[in-house]
Amino acid sequence: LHAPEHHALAIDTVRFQGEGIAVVVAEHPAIARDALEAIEVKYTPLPAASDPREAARPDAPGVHADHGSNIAFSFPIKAGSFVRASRRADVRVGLRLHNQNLVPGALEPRSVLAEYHASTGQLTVHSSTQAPHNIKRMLADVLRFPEQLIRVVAPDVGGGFGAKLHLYPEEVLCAAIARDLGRPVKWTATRSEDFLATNHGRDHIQELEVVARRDGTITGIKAEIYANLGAYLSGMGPGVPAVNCGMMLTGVYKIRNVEVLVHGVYTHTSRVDTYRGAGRPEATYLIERAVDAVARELGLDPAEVRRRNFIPSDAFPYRLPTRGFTYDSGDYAPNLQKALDLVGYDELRERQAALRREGRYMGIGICTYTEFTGIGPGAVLNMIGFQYGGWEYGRVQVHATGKVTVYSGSADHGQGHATSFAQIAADALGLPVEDIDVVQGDTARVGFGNGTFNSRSMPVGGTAIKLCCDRIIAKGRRIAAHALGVQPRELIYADGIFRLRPRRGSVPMAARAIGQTRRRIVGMAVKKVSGFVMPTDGLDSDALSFAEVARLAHFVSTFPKGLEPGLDEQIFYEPSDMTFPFGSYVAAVEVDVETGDVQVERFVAVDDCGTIINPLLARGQIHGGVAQGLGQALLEGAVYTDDGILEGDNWMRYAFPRAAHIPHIETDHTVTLTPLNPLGVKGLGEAATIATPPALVNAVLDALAPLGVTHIDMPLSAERVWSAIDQAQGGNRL
Amino acid sequence: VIAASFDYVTPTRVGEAVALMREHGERARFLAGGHSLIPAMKLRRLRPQLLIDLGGIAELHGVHVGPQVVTIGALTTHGEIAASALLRSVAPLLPEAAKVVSDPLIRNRGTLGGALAQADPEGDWPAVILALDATIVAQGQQGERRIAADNFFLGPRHTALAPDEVLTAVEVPLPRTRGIYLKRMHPASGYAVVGVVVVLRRDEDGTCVEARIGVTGVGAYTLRAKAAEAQLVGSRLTAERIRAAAAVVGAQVQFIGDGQASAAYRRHLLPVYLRRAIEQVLKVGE
Repeated sequence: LHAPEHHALAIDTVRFQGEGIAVVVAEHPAIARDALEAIEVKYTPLPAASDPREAARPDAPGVHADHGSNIAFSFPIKAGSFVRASRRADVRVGLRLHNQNLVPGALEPRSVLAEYHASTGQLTVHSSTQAPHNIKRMLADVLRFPEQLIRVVAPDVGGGFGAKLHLYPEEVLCAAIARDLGRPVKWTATRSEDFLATNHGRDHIQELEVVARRDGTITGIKAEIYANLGAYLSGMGPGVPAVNCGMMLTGVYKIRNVEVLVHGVYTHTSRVDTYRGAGRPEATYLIERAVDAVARELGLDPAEVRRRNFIPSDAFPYRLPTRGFTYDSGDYAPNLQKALDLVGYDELRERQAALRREGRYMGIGICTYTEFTGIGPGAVLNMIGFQYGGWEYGRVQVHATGKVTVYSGSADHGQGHATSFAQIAADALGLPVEDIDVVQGDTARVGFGNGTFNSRSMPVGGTAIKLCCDRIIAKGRRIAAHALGVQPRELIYADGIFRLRPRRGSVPMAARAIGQTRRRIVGMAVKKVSGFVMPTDGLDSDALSFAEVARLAHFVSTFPKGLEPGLDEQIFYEPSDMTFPFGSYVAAVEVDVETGDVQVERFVAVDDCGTIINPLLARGQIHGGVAQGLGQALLEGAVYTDDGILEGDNWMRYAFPRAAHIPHIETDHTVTLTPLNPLGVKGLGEAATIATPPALVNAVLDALAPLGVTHIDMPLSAERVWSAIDQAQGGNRL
Repeated sequence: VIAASFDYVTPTRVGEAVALMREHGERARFLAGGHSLIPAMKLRRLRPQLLIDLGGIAELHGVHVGPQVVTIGALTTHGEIAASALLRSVAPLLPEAAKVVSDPLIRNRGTLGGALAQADPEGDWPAVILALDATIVAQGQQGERRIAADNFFLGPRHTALAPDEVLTAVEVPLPRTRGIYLKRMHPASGYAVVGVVVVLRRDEDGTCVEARIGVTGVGAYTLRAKAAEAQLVGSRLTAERIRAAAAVVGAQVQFIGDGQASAAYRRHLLPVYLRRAIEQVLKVGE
């Protein structure tokens, strides 16, 4: 892998529109803005390459002069023999897909406030980031500043979608300038800057071939992928196409012969990195389009072709033929059936036939997906370019009154962790949820962390909290048992109360009576000598509440020998492997063939993320993900001119989905637990962004099948749909 | 985004605003709803040194129904027009059109007069005003004058207003038969990609005696499709005549395109929209 130096400000050569060249610091933003205009820059225009396929050609304009080619790496993935599968196949379909360049576009643009406290030597950096602890470490590295004196605070981040996961030049610049000036320095991206300089997502050109038998069994897949990395590498830039996409191309299907080659390509665009789904949307779109193409080629029902190729439920844990990943658990067929039942698939097909007779074009699109969440262990992270571990830090601190503070290194930026983490702790501790406070997003309050990405906060961050709570209860049980004069195993803990098991032997009863007598004598002696009444220690009762145990843990009048006081547990939880949620999405659309308009009539999402901790938050993730997925499918696309200029760096021209674009979304779940964590939970945050585009595009292509349309690249704007119809009809309306 | 520095005044009478504009000339701009001007200032594409805010001038607000015309104050917002029960009863096309102006935020701040003075080629109101045969009332140094909509729009973002004239009101003649504004909204900007306003008057036996068609979004500026109108007037609005009108609706248009919709696609859409708009008018009429 060729990794070029990436300076916080360009030196001599600017490689993309949005790369910083100078910094103005002023006492008021208006002055800074005026001063910016006073800077005269003389640019010598250089030829640009913005399309990853074109940029990969040997004669393309070079992005980094010290590296001969724009190809940063070429990553092969292989299993079985595609050549042999191809020889024996009955059908073969080829596709060339563009998974277009997208602007994440969080409502809150990136913002940094850095302050250097000369008296303590501390540097405090507020940043709108998904990973405060990693930003802290990287700032220490880049600025050669003692990490123990850096505090990064990321409170209530207004959306991230992966684009706020990595270190940015502006974080380094603000911190460095604040240190050097000894004054607080703040920067907030304008909307245009956010379009230009915040990481983009996707942007793959994919050339693929899929071979199958007559019965629909897919026997092999071959793909060559040209992935735009932008002008520089960002945190996970290479891993997204190589691993997240390249190794996930077979999706939910048992395909033995795989031949994939992923090229990461430098271009003169904004850096391209993680964006909600990060590689799995690109992989899922590729395979789901291919499965539909196979079904169409063979005249089979696309749902049936999927069933015939599913990894069977008894094959889990399922190790991919490429040996890259092991799917933990899955049960795909019932999940698909649930989605088909919910949408009324058979009736929809009948209606489709009836409408076609009237000259109306309704289509049904299916996407069955899997992906990986809770990324880890560390070895896997290293493989995809992260130089840190896959663990998450959790701490559960029980106060002397029995109230609880939960600390997590996961960093909420809209996910609702304050609720879901509190629920996990409340369940595990048997306490009301209002007794629990959740702290995150501040390195001064939370010791360690890796942040929120890859839908890892529940399976990894949540598990860390669950395991801390289990340790709290175990210790609490020892404290309670000691106070009650019994063995820990003689207690049951439920609903916040440690209780004696109903039936106990005579020997323990006698031991307890002796203990009670002894303490009574000690108590009387203390009262006689000091005049004080010893605090109630619980020995007289048969039960102790959590709050009483918490008090005993801090006021150690009767405390088990060899046990530390306090109820405060922390953990670095390293998952043994990743979890693989899955699901089935079905879209029904009608296309106005006169205008190319796509009307989404039904949209059904049936996900399986194992245990659902909070149904409302889960539904919110699906709704938001469907909106973003619909944006990719129908509306969005960052287009660079041949000169490397981003067309439409604003909300007036770049079409993010608005409320009016979003159809009614019908959601449901199946529940297949993961054996990998005690909660049985898998991630859900990216599911809908992954599964929505293929469902919608497949639906449109299904609608237009009678007109001979076989392919349209996203976004399926009305004009593209209309001109695809036109071309398929051999027309010359344009 | 921070605008370049400017001064700001709030006159309370139109005459005062006009005098201020005469005094400051090109360095000043009138501020109505601000939804075109302020974004342009924030991006520093415009740098007026003085903003003359018309918002405090009471006489520019409100809707008044007279015997022959309904008068709408220039600073009446799109949202106020959309919600006006009065307008719904006397000139329903106005609130119907107001409802499809972009999004609620813009409807709550943007004004009818501001939109007309701005004369954006993809704006909604110019096409509506043309189709309704409305009159624009303006006040300048020489006093008040009335400009027929047909004579108001002179080119892209170019109107008959003098630099120091304030657009004070719009007069829409009464009664008008029902019209339809059929708009294809740009998914990002909220402007019209294609917008067709059709106002038809028919006599008792169904013959079209008057047709006015406003076209927006597709070309460099908003215009009346007179060739298409001519195909309709005197006809019974048969499918054939509607097709004939659709065939010539783009005759005078210089089509424009952008990333959302090319010029060729807009050329294709315009007759489709005209046909559908006429069909809707006829349907409403039934």
